Amino acid sequence: MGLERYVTPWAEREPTRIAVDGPDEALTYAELDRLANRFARVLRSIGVCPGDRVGIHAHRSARTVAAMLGTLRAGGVYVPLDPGSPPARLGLIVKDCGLAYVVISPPLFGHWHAAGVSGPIEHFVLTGPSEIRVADLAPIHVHPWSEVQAAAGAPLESPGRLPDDLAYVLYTSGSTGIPKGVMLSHRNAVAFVDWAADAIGLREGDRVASVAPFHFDLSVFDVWATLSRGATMVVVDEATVVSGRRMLDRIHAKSIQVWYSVPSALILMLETGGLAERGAPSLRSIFFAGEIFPMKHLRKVMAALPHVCFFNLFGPTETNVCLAYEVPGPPAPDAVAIPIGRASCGDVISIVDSEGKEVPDGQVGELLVDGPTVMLGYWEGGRRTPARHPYPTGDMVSRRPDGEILYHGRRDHMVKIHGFRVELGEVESALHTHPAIHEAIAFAVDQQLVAVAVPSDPALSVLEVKRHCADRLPRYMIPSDVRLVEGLPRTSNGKVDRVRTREAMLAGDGSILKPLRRVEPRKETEWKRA
Amino acid sequence: MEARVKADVLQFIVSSWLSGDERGFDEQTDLQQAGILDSFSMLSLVAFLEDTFRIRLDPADVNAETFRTVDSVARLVVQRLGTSGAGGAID
Repeated sequence: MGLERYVTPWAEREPTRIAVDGPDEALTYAELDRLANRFARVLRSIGVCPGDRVGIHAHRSARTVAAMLGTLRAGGVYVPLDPGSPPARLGLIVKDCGLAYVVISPPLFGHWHAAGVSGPIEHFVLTGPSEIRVADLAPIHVHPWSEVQAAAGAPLESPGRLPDDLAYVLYTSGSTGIPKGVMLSHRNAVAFVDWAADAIGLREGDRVASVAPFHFDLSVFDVWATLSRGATMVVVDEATVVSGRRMLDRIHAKSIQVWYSVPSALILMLETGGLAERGAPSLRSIFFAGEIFPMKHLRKVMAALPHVCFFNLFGPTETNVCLAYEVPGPPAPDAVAIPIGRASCGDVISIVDSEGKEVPDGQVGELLVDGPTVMLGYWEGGRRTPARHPYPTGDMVSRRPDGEILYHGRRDHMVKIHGFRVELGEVESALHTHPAIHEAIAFAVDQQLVAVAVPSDPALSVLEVKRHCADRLPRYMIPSDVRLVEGLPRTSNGKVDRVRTREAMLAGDGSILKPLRRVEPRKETEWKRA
Repeated sequence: MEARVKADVLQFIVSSWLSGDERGFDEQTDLQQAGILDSFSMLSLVAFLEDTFRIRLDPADVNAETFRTVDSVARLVVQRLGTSGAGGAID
């Protein structure tokens, strides 16, 4: 069973039901089915063969979903390209993945002109009308939107697939700064999609938000779980996700029932969208994943939405989701964290020490995962590297006596300060328990622990932050350098960008990390003299 | 004299460990309870005192009592300045 077969049965049963709504056009199941066939025909006609990668460079929209579906129906593998990514990074991905075919939304063409397209791209397929003359990009062939529209919408011969065939490649930032592709198969995706749709009780006709970018694995639920159950995907576009108020407006206007995002989006609705006052009566279930949900924010979000079921999903892109926890109710006032739950999607987990031996309950070790959601491998430097089995996630966890798994942070967030092992996540959790800290991250610089925090109350002082840590953490875990700033840089997924925060702090870049100046100028002059 | 020592120690701590943010911090703040002094920052503070005031501190001088507050640190410094006769080195 491949992902591309989800839509047709619904197109036959409920042809007029909206499959994808927005942002600028809505497609019914019948329309989506036909448009996907048109894309598939064009792609096949220009040479896409089973296993060929097709870049999808477009904002989230009904047509973009049709292009992804069409790619799979042509036997291809879709590679979502971040519309917000700088041309140089796109160039790296195109080269690394050997993308000969790119489906592109015309307004994004400028990117490629700027980048001076070269290398593997041979064909552009447009998702809308464009003024660009075909000759402008020679020797690259440009296939105008009219060519897609003119192709037959009738079903085409199935690519004849095996479950382990590659379905899509998601590029994540490698630790070296060079993006690497995570290869996911149809089997990987289906295992997650089936599990998630059941877990959340997805029903036909449900209205499911699409908040996450398509190059982020959260979107696999939004697109494929939604289409597998005959539900409607409602696009919450890029201009909306930056505003808490606009997001909540969209939930109200579109009667959204199911929502999957990083915690930051929910916190934004709480703090700037009026979630506590306005509520969201249509919402039934929320999945969150991708970063830790600070307890004080989760408590408030859950209190604002008492009728909603909350699930904490966990897993690196390499395993999509491998653990899940249904949050039973708002966390207690003294709760520092909630569990990440138990194995999901048919996966099997184990927790091992540095020698690979299983650790007893309560002891922290690395999480290993095996099962149907573990990726095929990496696509990196033009080569395929198969995944290790079981897959070592690099996440440090422990098992509670009741079987629930607790998260302790990334293995690479485990640093040594003067010989003491410090888990940065633990420092961050302690920082987050302060009522006047909106968000905070910690990292190590030359044996020094640094915390960068965004206060929600301007009265918060560095001394108060240290005192708070001193009350909760061993002495060696108290950040010696605490910076209070206006905000933290974010990745295109909406998560706090740790790498850029650290670099900006080291470089003293005040444009990224705007310091909250609390120092009286007179005293500063005195120090300089002293 | 003691007031000047206090001011210097206070400013050193504020700039070294409080990112220049002196709010809430004064001569009576408990340096350990506030998470400012640990064994490593203590060493930097001792080095600062020895360099700035040209005094020598014995290991016995460096303990939780003498390093509890800016006040107690300043008292220690003034005491050592008195015994070593190294006064006038502050500037």
